[in-house]
Amino acid sequence: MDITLKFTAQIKDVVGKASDTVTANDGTNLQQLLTNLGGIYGERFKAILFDEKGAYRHSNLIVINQSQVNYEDNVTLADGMEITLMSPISGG
Amino acid sequence: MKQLTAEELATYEWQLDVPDHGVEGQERLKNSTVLVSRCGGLGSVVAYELAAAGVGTLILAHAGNVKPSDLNRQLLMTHDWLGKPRVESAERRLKELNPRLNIISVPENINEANAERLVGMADVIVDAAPLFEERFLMNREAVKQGKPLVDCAMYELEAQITTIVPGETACLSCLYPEQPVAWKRRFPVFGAVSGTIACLGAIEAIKLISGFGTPLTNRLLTMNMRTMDIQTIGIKQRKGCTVCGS
Repeated sequence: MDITLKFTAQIKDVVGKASDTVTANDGTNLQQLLTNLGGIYGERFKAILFDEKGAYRHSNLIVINQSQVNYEDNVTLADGMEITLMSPISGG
Repeated sequence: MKQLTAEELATYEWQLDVPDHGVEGQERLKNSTVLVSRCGGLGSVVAYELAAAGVGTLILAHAGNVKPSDLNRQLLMTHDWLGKPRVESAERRLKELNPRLNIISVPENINEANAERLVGMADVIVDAAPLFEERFLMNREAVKQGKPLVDCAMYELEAQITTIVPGETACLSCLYPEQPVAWKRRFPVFGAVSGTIACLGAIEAIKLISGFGTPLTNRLLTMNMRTMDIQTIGIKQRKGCTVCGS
């Protein structure tokens, strides 16, 4: 299945683009997808999303269908789903 | 509550026509105090719009002196004030617009020593600080003291805003429970981007004080001005939040 990803702020900077489409196996859940993305987008991306022990950094917002989703919600993904990963911003 | 003078009735004539605002709403603005921290690209425009709208008292917290690199976005800072205190420049410019405005200038950024007192003096807080440490302090005090807080922020051509009402909405620590690791003090910015989200912040504060409209509660409005995509995201209280105890 295809998942559309959107990125904002520093996550977008590290990925190098504002959106992408990745293919995931049927039955993949959100946590598995985010872990797998580290392999696609590299160590800097991984370091923003996960700490040294591999725990998710909750200050990065996950948005699915215009609603915030917690990492622990562990949503099962569906073909065509759009997931936005938002890096926290504080510019003023 | 102080009533409007003849001069104020003339000045605010056109906004008194806004449905559900009127003279009563305008008097609430006149009798209100808003804390704006800081007065950079975002906070400058928030303060300017609130001064124009007739908010009675502004508390402006911003340390340091005006630098050349402030002048692309910090619209209360001017070239002739380079090297002089930012809050003095802000006060001078706001008084040019609205000489009736009461300004409490604080030549400091929000910190542990002043956060409780400054938040305590305000009816509404508009959070425009470039560091999460300052935002978290204002959020903590706003929650503790039951004060509404408008949190607006930008990065490059992106911007976002939400309104926090303690006891009713997610707080900033629900949204960001940990210190963000990727945020850097220096960020890419056009003044038009910070100014755009600042105007939304100002109208949120005006709505909260006057009492009309629907505040941006439990929603995060995001704007990408590179593509002009705007969306509103549903956000929620975080179970076990260490600040608001959701």
